[in-house]
Amino acid sequence: MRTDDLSRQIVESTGDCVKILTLDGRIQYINNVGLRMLELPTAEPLIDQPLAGFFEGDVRKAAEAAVEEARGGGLGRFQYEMRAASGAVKWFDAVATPMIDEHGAVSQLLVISREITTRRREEMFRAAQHQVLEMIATGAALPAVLDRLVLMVEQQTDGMWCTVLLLDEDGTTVRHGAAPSLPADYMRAIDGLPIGPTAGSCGTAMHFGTRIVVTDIETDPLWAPYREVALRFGLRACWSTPIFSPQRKVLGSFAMYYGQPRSPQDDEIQLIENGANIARIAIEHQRASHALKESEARTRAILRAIPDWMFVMSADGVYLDCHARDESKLIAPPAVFLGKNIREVLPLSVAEPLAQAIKRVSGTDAEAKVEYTLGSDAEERAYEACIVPCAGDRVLAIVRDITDRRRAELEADANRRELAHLSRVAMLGEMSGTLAHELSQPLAAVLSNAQAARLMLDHPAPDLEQLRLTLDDIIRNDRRAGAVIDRLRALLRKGDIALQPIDPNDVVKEVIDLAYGELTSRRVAVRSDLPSGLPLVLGDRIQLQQVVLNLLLNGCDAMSGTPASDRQLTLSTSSNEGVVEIAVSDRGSGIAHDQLERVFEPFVTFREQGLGLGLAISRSIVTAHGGSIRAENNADGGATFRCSLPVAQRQENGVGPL
Amino acid sequence: MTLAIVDDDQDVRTALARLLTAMGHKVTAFASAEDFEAAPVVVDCMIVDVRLPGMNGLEFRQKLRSQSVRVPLVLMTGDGDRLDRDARIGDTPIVSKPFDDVTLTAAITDAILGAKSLRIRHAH
Repeated sequence: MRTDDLSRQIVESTGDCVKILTLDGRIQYINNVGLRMLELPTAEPLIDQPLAGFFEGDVRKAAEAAVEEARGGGLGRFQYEMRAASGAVKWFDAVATPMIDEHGAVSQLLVISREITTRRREEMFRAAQHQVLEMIATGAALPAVLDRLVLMVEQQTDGMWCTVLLLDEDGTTVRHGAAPSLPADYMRAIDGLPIGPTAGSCGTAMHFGTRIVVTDIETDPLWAPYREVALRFGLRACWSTPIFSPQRKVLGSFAMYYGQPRSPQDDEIQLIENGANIARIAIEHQRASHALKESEARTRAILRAIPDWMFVMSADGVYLDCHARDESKLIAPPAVFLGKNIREVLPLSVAEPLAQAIKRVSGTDAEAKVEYTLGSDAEERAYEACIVPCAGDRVLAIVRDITDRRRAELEADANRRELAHLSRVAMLGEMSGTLAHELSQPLAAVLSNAQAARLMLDHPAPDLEQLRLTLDDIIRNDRRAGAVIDRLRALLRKGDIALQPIDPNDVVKEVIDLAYGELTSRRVAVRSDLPSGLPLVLGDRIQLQQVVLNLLLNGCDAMSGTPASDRQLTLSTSSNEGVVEIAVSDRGSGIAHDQLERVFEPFVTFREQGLGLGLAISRSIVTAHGGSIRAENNADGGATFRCSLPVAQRQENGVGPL
Repeated sequence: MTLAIVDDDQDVRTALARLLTAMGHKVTAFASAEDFEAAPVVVDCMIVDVRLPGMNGLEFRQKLRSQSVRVPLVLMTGDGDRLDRDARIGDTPIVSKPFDDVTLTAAITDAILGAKSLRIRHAH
């Protein structure tokens, strides 16, 4: 039949499987394309079988519905999966339509199945890939992710098994990654082997950083060392591609194994690369999160090691979070104070300045330091809170126990005071001659005046006016002697440091008075340049006098070899930008350039007398006052010592304990 | 006697002048050796502080002696510690402040006698 022949040619020339069914759905005919798809030599096993009978479950229902639809004159459609005789699974999209005879009746049904395996696999691969990526994103463990990846890729080809191997951080040792379908014994045999130029497919791929395709394990020299074990497990072909980090560091390998010798098709190469790519993402992600965890662990370790306490607080002083290495040292456990306001937790005298500092710092980029003490009568401890802004308007308060530091500071202060005192005593000892002179002058005046007064009284008509003047002089000179004694007593006293606002000019004048005798006996002329209206400095009067007196005596010493007519010492004061400077200039021989700094070292002296501690102690005093002292040579000869002191602030902060 | 006082301390100068005047002497006071040199007066004895601005008491004495001025001299010192070291000044008596009228009178007498004996020795 011509028409039949034509029809048959058309039917055979399509790439689709064409079947003709009876009205009750039995297979009457299948074309050769269909037989090839099913890998059947003849149509014999299919003929007269109900089409739906080849399927199960939902697919069978769908097939029955499609047949029914076609029988009713409509178009039925269903999809199904078939395992070919070789075992390969294939996917089909089937369309059932009615065949109408010359009477217009439905006589047979036509079912055309188109293989959609490739499309279907792509869809499944995309879905699986999505799932794997989702696993990665949600932080699933690396082995689980890699297992899922391997299974996904294995689904793409029958008779193929995949492995993911990882390269140890040491860069040479192979570690098991994922191989859910290969025998565990085989994977155990591979684990721990070194990579190298002839280390199977994977070890070699990782060694050279290139894809290695071994089509027959039995003959390929790369497999020589492992051939026996691979063959024992029935593995004949292995294609492996290295997994690279973005920095081209080898992370591992992705491989496909086959039970027969085989070389890859383009789409299979693509599949390997795809698998390796997803494995890279999984490994990278795991390493990154591992690094993050390590960094967090490190941060925690650092936090544990830091003795400071840290409190995250809101702008209005509510404790939000707390970190303490030793919570037992907190005045209350975190559970008690978290969520509470600092004013409810700490004594008001401590809470108030802290709360103010928190408010001041919050939302700025400033920081504040607050020192306070807390504790019982038995033990009071000192703390320093450093308050820095953190996220939003919150602040971080880093609290440190400074009790020991404070104690050490107090001891250092005591030592410095002691040394300063000793130095003063020594200095006054050097001046004892002239100081005795200072005292004997008024005493001499008192005695002479008193004796003069008595002689005046012996006179028959005493001059009362002269007597009154004489007595006034006695009183004045007695006071003068008292003042000298007071001054000496003050300088010799060990007493506590008394910080007070001081006019630097007063200090200079007092020292010049005190040293008047010394200056006279050394033939040193003093010039002073003391502009009025200088800002005050906050300091200890006696210690500052000590510094100036020391500089004055140093200046005198420096001029001991200078002709008497040239011995001039200039004491001057000036102020500039929050600093007051007291300068003492001599006309001596100056200081060797390399000694300008050394003169402030202890026991370095250019003086005939003294321990050589004077300038060292002067510097320590000035430093404790927040100032500085330095020496320089004058352009016209001699040296100048400049002592800078900060101007007293209105509030009395900013000056450390002395 | 006519006496000259050289002391830079005005209180001491005034008090000493007052005492010596009350004792019946005629006194002229100077604040420095240079002041005396500028307006020298002839006196029976000079009472000079060792510590003076400019030329000090010892230098002043030396200068007078070198000019063969044999005026009797008493040195005053307020510096007890250095007294011993400085006391060996030939014929010149030294008084340590504070001193009373008896000590001062004795020193003046010594100075005058010493100067005379010096003169007598020279005459021989």
